[in-house]
Amino acid sequence: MNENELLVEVKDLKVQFDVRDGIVRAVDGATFEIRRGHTLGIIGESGCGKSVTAKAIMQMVPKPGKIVGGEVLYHRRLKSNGSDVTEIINVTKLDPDGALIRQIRGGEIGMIFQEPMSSLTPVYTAGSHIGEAVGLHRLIPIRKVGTQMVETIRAQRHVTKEEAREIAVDMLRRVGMPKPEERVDSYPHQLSGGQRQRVMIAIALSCEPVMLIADEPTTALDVSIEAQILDIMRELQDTVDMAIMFITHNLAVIAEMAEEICVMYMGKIVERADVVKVFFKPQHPYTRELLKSIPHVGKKSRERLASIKGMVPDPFNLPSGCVFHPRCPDYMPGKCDRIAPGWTEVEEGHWASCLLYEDV
Amino acid sequence: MIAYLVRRLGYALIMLVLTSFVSFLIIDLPPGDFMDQRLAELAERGDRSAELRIAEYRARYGLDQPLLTRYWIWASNFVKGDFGDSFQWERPVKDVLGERLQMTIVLALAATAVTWIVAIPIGVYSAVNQYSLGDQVLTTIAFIGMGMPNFLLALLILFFAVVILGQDISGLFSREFRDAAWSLAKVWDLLKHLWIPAIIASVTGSAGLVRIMRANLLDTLGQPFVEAARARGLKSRTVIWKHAVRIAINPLVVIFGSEHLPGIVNRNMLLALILNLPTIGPVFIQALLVQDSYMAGTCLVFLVILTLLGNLLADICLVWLDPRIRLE
Amino acid sequence: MAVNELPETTERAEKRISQSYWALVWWRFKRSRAAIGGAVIVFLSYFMGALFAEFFSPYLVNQQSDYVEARPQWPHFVDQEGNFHLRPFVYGLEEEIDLELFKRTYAVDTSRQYPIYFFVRGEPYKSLGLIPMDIHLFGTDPNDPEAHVFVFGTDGLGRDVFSRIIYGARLSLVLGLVGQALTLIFGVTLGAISGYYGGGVDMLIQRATEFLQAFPREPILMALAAIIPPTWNPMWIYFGLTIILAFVYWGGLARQVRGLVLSIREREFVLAAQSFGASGRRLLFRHLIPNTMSHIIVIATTMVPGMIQSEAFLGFLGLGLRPPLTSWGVLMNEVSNVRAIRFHPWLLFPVPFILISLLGFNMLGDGLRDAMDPYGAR
Repeated sequence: MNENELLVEVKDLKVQFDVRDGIVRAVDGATFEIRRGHTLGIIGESGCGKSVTAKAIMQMVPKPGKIVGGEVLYHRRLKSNGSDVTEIINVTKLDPDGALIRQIRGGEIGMIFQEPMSSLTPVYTAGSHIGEAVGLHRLIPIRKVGTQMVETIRAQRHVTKEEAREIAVDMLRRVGMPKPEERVDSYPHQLSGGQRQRVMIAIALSCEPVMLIADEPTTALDVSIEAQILDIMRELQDTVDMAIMFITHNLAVIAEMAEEICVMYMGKIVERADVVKVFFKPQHPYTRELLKSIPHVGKKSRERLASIKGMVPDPFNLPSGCVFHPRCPDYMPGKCDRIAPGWTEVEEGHWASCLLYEDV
Repeated sequence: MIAYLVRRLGYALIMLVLTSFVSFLIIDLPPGDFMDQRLAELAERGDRSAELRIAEYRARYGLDQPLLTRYWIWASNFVKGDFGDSFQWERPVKDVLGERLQMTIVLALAATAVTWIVAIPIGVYSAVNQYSLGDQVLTTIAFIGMGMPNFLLALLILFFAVVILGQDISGLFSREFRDAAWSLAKVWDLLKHLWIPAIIASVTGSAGLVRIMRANLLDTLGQPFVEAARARGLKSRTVIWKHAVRIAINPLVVIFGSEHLPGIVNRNMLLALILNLPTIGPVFIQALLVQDSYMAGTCLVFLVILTLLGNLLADICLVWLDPRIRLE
Repeated sequence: MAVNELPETTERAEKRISQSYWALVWWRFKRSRAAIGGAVIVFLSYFMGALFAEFFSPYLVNQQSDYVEARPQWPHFVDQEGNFHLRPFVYGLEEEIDLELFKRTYAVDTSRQYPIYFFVRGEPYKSLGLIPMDIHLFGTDPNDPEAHVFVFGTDGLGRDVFSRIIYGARLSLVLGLVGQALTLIFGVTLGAISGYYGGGVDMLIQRATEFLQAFPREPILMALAAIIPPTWNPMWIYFGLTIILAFVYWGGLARQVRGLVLSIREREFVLAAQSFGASGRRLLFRHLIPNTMSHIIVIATTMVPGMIQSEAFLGFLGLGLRPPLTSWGVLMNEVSNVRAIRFHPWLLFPVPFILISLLGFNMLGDGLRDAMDPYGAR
C-alpha cells in the first residue's frame, strides 16, 4: 500500500450561489489532494469558502448553491475477494439524493460540524443517533460454511438493534465519554458541549469511514475541552488510519493537527504547503499577514496589534485582477489589479497563487 | 411534572366556576326573560289563562327568584350532573344535549382528521419546495382559505348544492336513518353526509395549519442538525420526516390543542345551523336567542370546558413530545 | 498601499443602504404584488363604500320599488337580433305568478330594453353628509319612470341589492375601523402597562385577559350582542356593538403588546434612556410604544377582518345591527334560511363582496408584516 496514496482529489472546483442580489462565487477554482491516513488543514477567515468546499466534497452544497465547474474525485477502495480494487468516483456528477452518494456520506466519508449544540436532533438520544448511522452503513460479514470445503463467502447483513446499541456504547467509550452505558440514552440537551462533540465524533467514526471532514469542530468549545477533543481525534486517526480534512480559522489548532495546509481567501486557495513551510516560510502575502496578526506574548505593549489592512470585499463586487490586491502590502500597481494570478509551484510541494512568482 | 399538572387543573377549575357565573349573568342580562316571549305568543292566540300558566312556569323554574339564588341552585345541581331543564324543549338539558354531544364529537374529530391529513403534507411539500410553482399556488390557496369565514363558505356551497345541483345536503342522516338504531348502513349514511361539513369546517383550520407548518419547517430545515443528518447519508425523505418534521410539528400540536380543537366546535356553530346538523351549535344559538337560560348556560360552560381541556391537552402533548421540556 | 477602486455599486443597492426605516418598509412593500393588491382592495372598499356609497349606487339604500324579490338584470351589449349596442342595456322584468308556490316571480322581458347611462341623475342625496348631489355613477334614463336596473336583483321590499351591498360596506367597514381603534386604545395601553411595570399590575391585567380568553369568542359575542335591546336607537346599537367587539378583542391584543414590550424592555436603548433619568411614562410613550408600532400596525390590520366577520355573523343571526340600519350582517340575515337560498339566491351576492374585502385586509396585513420585518429573508 502506497504511503501517500490519493484519497480525494479536488480539481479546480467552482461553486456558485445564485442569490437575489447577484452571483456569489463561494469557491473559485480550488485544487488540492487528500491522501489516505493524512491530515489536510484548510484555513481562512469566515466566509472564505472553506465550509462550502467541504460540503461540495460530500455533494451537499445547499441551495441556492451549485457546483458549476471542476471535479471532486474520490478514490474508493472496494474489497472484493481479497484484491483491492480502486474505483474513482466523480462526486460532482452524482445525484445528490442518490444511493451511491448516500452510501459514501457517513459510511465512507464522515463529517462533523461546528455547533455540537445544534447538530444533534433534540428528540433523539445519543445512542439512537449512532444506531441510526450504524444501521445504515455498518455491514457485518456473514460466514457461511460450504459443503465441500470451508469456504468463507463474503455476504453481508445490517446490524441488529442490540448490536447497534453495543457498538454505540463502545464508540462512546472510545471517544472518552464518561459512563458510556448511561450516556448512550441521554438527550443532547443533557450533555455538555464537549460531550456532544464527542458524540458527533462517535457517530462519524462508528461507521469506520476512510476520511473525516471536520468543519470547525472545536470553535464553539472551551480551550480545555478543545484540547481533549483534538487529542481524541488524533488518537482515533492513528488507530483507524483515517484521513482528516480539518477546517478552521484558528491558526494554533491547525498547526497542531494538520500535516499539509491550504490557505483560502475569498473562495480561492492562495497557498498550499506542508505545515512547517506555511508557518516558517509563507510565500503568499495574505498568509504572511495572517501570521503577523497573531499577537505575541512578551512583545512591548506600546506596539499596535497587527492586522490586515482594509476589509473583506463585497462578494458582489470583487476587486479586479487579484482578489487580495486592495489589502496587499506587496501590491504592484498595473499588474495586481489587472491580472488574476495563477498557481505557481514556488518550491517542491509548495504552491502559491501570487503574481510575485509569475513573470508578467 | 405532577405538581405542575395539579396546579393547572386547580387553576382550570377556578376559571370554570368564574366563567360559569359570568356566563349565567350574561345570559340573564337581556331585559325580560324567556317567559315573556311565550306570554306574547300565547296572548296573541287569545289564550286568557296564559298569564296564570306563565306564573306557574315561572315558579316552577325559579324564574321569579334573584339571580344569585338561581345560579347557586343551578351550579350545585350542575356538579351532580343535573343541568336543569330547558324551557324551550321542556326536557332536561342533559337529554337534549346528550344526543347531540355524540355528533358534535364526531364532527369535530372528522374535521380534525381532515385538517391534519390535508394540511401537514401540503405544508411539508411547500417548505421543501420553497418558491416553486407548487408552493406559490398552494400558499395562495391557503391564504385565501384562511380569510374565509366558515359560514360564508357554507352558504356558497349550500347555494351550489341546492340551486345548481338540486341536492339536499343538510343534516347528517337521511330520513330513514335518523332515528334508526346504529348499524353499518347507518354509519355509511353518516359518512356520506359528514364529508361536506367536515371539509367546510376544516378549511380555515387547514389553511392556517399549512402556513404554520411551512414556516416552522422552513426554520427547522435551516438548523444545523438537519444538515448533519444529511451528512450521515440519510435519504432526503428520512431527513425531512424523521428529523425535521418531527421537531417542527411540536408547536403545531400546541396550537392545535389550544386553538383549533375548541375553534372547530366554536366557529362551526353557524355552519351547523345552516346545514341543520344535530350538534350542540344550533341548540346553543337558539337558546341564546330566546333566553333559555339553563340550556344556554350549560352549553357555554361546556364550551369553556372544551377550551380549557384543549389547552391542558396541548400542554401535556408538548411535554410528551419534547424531551427538552419533559425532563426539567 | 493603493486604494482599490470598487466598481460602481448599482444604484439600487446604494439607495438601499442609506434609507430610513419607513422608506425601506415602503420599498419592500411595493415589491409584493399581493400587498399592493390588498391595499388597492381596501382603499377601493372604503372609497366606494364608506365615503361615496351614494354616488356608486344606482339607488338609495332604503329605496323601495314594486319589483319585490326580482331576479338580477344582467347588462347586455348585444340584443336579441344580434345588434351591438355601445351602451349596455338591461331587459325589463315581467311579472308572473307562480301558481305552484303562490309567489310573484319575474321573467326577462326582451321587448323592453333599458339603456344604462353613466353619471346619470337619480335620487338626490348628500355626499359625505354635506354636499347635496344627485349624480349616480350609473342608472337608467331618469326621464323614464319604468326603467330600472337591478344588477343583483331586489330583496323582500323591492330594494336594489347592489346598492344595499355598497351601503352595507359603509357600516361594516367603518365598524371594523372604529372597533379596531377602540380595541387598540385599550389593548395597547393595558398591554404596555402590563409589560412595562410588571408586578401586581401585570398579574391583574394578565388574569383578566386570561379570563376573557377562556370564553369561546363566537358564543360570547352572541351572548353579549343579545343583550342590546332591539328597541334602542340605531346609533346606540352601533356604538354598543363597537364596544362589545372591543371588549372581546382587546385581550388578545394586550397579550401580544405585553410580549413585545417585555422583549424590548431589556434592550440597551431603554437602559440608556433610563440612565439619564427618563420617567416611566415618558419611556412608555416616547420609546417603548413607538418601537412596537410596526408590530401593532400589522396586528391591527389583521384584526379588522375579524371584526367585519363578527358583525356579519351576528347580523346573520339577527343580533347586532338590525334594520333600518344596513350593514353586511343585516344583508346576511336575509339569507339565513334555505328557502331564501333556493328561491332568491341573488340575495347571496353580499358574500363575495365580504370575502373580497376580508381577503384584501389579509393581503394588506401580510404585506405589511413582511415589509416591516427587518430580518425577513425575502
